[in-house]
Amino acid sequence: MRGWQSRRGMRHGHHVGAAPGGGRFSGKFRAAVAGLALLTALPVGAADQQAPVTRAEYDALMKQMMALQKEVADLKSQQAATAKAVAAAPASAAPSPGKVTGKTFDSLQGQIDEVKSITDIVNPGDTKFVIAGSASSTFSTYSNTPSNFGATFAPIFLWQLNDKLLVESEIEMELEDTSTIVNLEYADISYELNDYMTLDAGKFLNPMNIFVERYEPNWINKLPDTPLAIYDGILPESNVGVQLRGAVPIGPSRLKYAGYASNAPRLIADDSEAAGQLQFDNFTSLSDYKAYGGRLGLEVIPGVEAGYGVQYANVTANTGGVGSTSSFLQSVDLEVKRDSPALKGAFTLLGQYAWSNVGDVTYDPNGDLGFGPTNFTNNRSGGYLQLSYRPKRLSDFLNRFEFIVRGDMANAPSSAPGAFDERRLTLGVDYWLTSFTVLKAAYELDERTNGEPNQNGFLLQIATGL
Amino acid sequence: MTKKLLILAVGAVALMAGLDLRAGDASTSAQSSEVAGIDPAKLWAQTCSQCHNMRPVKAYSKDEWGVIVHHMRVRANLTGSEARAIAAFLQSAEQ
Repeated sequence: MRGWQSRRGMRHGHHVGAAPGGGRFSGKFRAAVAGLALLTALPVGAADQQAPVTRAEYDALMKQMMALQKEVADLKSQQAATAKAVAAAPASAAPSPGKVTGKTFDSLQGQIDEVKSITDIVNPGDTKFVIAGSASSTFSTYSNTPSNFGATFAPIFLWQLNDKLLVESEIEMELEDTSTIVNLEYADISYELNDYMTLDAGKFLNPMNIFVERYEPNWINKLPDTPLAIYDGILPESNVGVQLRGAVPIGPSRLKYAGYASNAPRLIADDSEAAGQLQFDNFTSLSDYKAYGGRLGLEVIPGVEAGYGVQYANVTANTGGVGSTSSFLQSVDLEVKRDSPALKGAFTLLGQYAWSNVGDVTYDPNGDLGFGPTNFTNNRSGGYLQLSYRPKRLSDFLNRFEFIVRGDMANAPSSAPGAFDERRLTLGVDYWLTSFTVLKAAYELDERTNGEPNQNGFLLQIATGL
Repeated sequence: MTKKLLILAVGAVALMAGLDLRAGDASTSAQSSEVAGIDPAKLWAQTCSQCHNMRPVKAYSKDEWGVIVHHMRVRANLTGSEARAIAAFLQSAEQ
């Protein structure tokens, strides 16, 4: 499960450093003049940074700066007069310039520091930091399984280093059995090359897995759980590598694209329940193999988008005695969001179908693992279709409800170890407490055809964006 | 063959990256209130609500909106001019 949108926490950086003080008259004078020059330049710099300095603050600073300028001019006059007097008077009667001007400049330095401290407060700095994410608590009860309470917390950290550079990361924490599971869902650095292209490097969400990339955060996902297929060894959730992505306007439409190179997945060969499946959380590139893939999406008009994604990689296993082979994943997706004045509400249709092929290899060739030798055509597929309706224009009470129906399925080859073929129909009702906090209830009808018992389920969840 | 593909890919990337000149021009007019004749408020509603409910404008400060829109530009494949128009709209709206 994953979340993004939320808030909070600003850090102010890029403070202007304090001007150094000096013990000698000329040094202090130069420091004062330099400080004034710095202060004079400050409003311009602030504007460049789109700093939210109010007019009142600006006027106050200008007023203080003018006063300081006058004070410097007075000091110059005083200095000139002092020099003149020293030159005219006998040496014994000369004033001590160090004592007189030192006090004056100490006072001036104090005022400059005071003004600078004010400007530091209103100076927002270049680096901006926001914490977003989501949190949820779920109660679930499935047939043949004890009911359970669960909780997740998934903060997202966003650092905007400048207008082009962004660092983002999500850490998901969830409870499982007696442990707290902590996952680094993604951590990447993106740089905007131009208006239409962004370079992204690190651990990023897989762009062809459109559900994970857009709809998985619990406050966005309209049902308490996630559809089949997107996690079942058919599509990666994330990749470690580099990607280029962006969009190009084409008339009223937009072509969205993403292409990447990353570590290749690992072929599972030593697990009697999962042999032949791809392990996408492969953070070490085996045999130097890499995965290449991407997605093209056409947003025909706002709210209507269709996409196609692929990933190709040679894969191998580091155990199990199997060799290398190829893997090819494909996916089509559809997203439609329309308001219907006639039906007094908004409809959302989401769908994705993915299919994969892994080349032939013989698993457990020596029979050492107890399930081989075995060989099978390794094709897998799965997908979902979800329709939701929110009656936004019926009444203040009803417009908080949303009704959802989802069908999903996933399968693995019937002759493969750990074969499965599952279909579900889920009916759900949401009640939106706010635009980013939702109560969900759903009933799931489950059908499994590989001999496993069906697991119908009832789920309740509260989820919020942070 | 692989080498030719690599050269082709690098060339395509360089060509698209060259469009930065246009991006530079656009960034100087970052406060442009419209993108391709679309009202920025409408653009905000269309792009954000495609995936999720819209957050209230006051949910974030002006600076925070800048970061959020930057994040969403990458995630939702917005163009730079669209992102700037949405950010400018949100930052100029009543907090």
